[in-house]
Amino acid sequence: MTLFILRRLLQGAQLMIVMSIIVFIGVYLIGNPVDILIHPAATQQQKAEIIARLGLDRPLWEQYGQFVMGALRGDLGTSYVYRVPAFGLILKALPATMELALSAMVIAIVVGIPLGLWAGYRPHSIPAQAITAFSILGFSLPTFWVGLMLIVLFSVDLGLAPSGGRGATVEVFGIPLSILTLDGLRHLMLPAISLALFKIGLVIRLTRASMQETLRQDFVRFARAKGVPEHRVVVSHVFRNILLPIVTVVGMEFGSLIAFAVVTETVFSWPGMGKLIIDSISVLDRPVIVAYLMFTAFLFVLINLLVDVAYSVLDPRVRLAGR
Amino acid sequence: MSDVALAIRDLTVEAGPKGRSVTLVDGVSLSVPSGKILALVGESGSGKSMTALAAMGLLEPPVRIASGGASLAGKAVDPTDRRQMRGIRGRDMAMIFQDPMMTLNPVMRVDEQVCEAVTVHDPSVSKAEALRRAREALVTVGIPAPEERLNAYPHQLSGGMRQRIVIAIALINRPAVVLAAEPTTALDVTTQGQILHEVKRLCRDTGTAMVWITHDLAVVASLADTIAVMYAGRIVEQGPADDILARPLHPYTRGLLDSVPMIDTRSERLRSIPGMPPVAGSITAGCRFAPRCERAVEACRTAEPALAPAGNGARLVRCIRPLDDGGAA
Repeated sequence: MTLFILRRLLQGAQLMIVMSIIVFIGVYLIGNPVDILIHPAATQQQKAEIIARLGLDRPLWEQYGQFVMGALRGDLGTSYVYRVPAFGLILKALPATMELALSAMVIAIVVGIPLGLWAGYRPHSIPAQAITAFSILGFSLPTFWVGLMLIVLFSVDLGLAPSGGRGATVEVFGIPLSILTLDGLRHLMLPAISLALFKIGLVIRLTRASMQETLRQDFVRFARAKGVPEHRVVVSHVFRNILLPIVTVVGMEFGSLIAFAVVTETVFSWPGMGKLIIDSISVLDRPVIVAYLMFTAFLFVLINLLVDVAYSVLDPRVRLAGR
Repeated sequence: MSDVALAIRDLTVEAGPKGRSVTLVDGVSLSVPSGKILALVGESGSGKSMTALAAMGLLEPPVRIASGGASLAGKAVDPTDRRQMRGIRGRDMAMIFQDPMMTLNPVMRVDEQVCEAVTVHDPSVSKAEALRRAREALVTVGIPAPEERLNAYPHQLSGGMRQRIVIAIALINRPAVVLAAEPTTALDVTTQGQILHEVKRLCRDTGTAMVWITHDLAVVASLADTIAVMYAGRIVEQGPADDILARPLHPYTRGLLDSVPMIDTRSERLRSIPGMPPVAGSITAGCRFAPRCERAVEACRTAEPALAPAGNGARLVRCIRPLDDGGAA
């Protein structure tokens, strides 16, 4: 197990190196930040000074070398706009995004799994077909449009929830959280639902398909032949088997949830990483963009590793290589 | 020990929407006394497994029981009554399936799966007591080091070991009857032989009756007391095992026996029955086997014969031209 984790971490490190090269070249290609950062009235000499100070006069490989040297010391660069370390900016925005992503994930699981189980157990019943239709909607409606419609309905027409911002927060271990205040909860509600909708659809479809497939297995029939009551067949025999694909997919999807949050955070002006990255892209604040992309890649590596470990705990047949 | 453990009367199973339904099992009656083994023989699709699943109340839509009833140790049971069957299954009537690799839940430990069979029928049994019975059940079916097996997951055990565990689970509540759907087909011949031997001994010792569903006549010969041969949803021949194996009356039974390789007779080529069994729903008038039967005459194609007594009266056959000479065709 330890060896497996070490090997995966090594693979993760390789991935991060490749990622950093792609990101660096990509960001370089987007455009020259100097044109946006420097006041149009600045003299040619002032311009040259700033370019030199930011190191933008050096060739790309040298800039990259400097970035790598800095990154190894834990310094991902300084924001051109805010003049503070880029990684610090991201860490500051992280709790808001995490709170949003986790809330959406919980909603997706709590709503999606029971509905999926129901739809899979009696696939031909009317409620099951309604659930399936709903899941297709959740799957196909674009997130930004759903967000806007939620705002129109609940904020503008009904006035039940605010349309943006985080509301009041409470600090828990130095991390500001909205979910613990009533005002914060009202602010969190709409973006969380909007972000969750796609995942609810996904979880329903996955659970439904796994349920139908598992119900056909011989061991389910044998459990019934033993006289196991139907609710127990579903809960302890079927569900434990379904849990494996659900954990895998939901775990993997958590990474994409953080990435998808970009759109939702923008629509609801939620002050998280997504909003930070969109703002940074619009002013070509290169260090923040690079730091965000590197951090997201790191989160993906970490989440995938955790999913693999969780999988081996849940499924006795999986023994991680090199145990 | 001659009291009837399980009797099935006029069981008809059909599938599909009402009015356009297809009959899969057609008026099957069977009975098996305590401690005896009945072999239900037939090709794939003959309805033998459907018969067992129907008796257990385990048919899944769109397949359903159209008519018929059953009695268990003298008491009438209704296989369509879900509540009643839930209590009976696993306690008075158990079932074993074909593939031991698929019958145990892969993510549950063996102990939980064995103990569950006890506790779902009697919640008052303590965990320790259930475990004790589980250990005992495993010993009964010839599993060495039961403690170790109980703590294992199914994938850590061999196919033969898993099937023994499945049999142990089926027998743990001392049911009146066990329905076994080809439980040794997926095992190698040595393991198969051992398990058949154990099963026969257990039935005799505990008085449990068994319905052994198979297409393997070699298994039948070493195991069964009585045989019922099924073809296209119908029983075509029924009687004591020795009689039927030595002197089949129905041409279909003869055909089945001829397609078994014999080590002591030198035949150049193994005989097979020409043609295919009819697909459910496409059954025409007359004897269902007639299109494949080399003894068929015109009368065979017009009316289906009834299952009538034959020989010394202990046998039943559904044929107007039975092989009364022992079938040396």
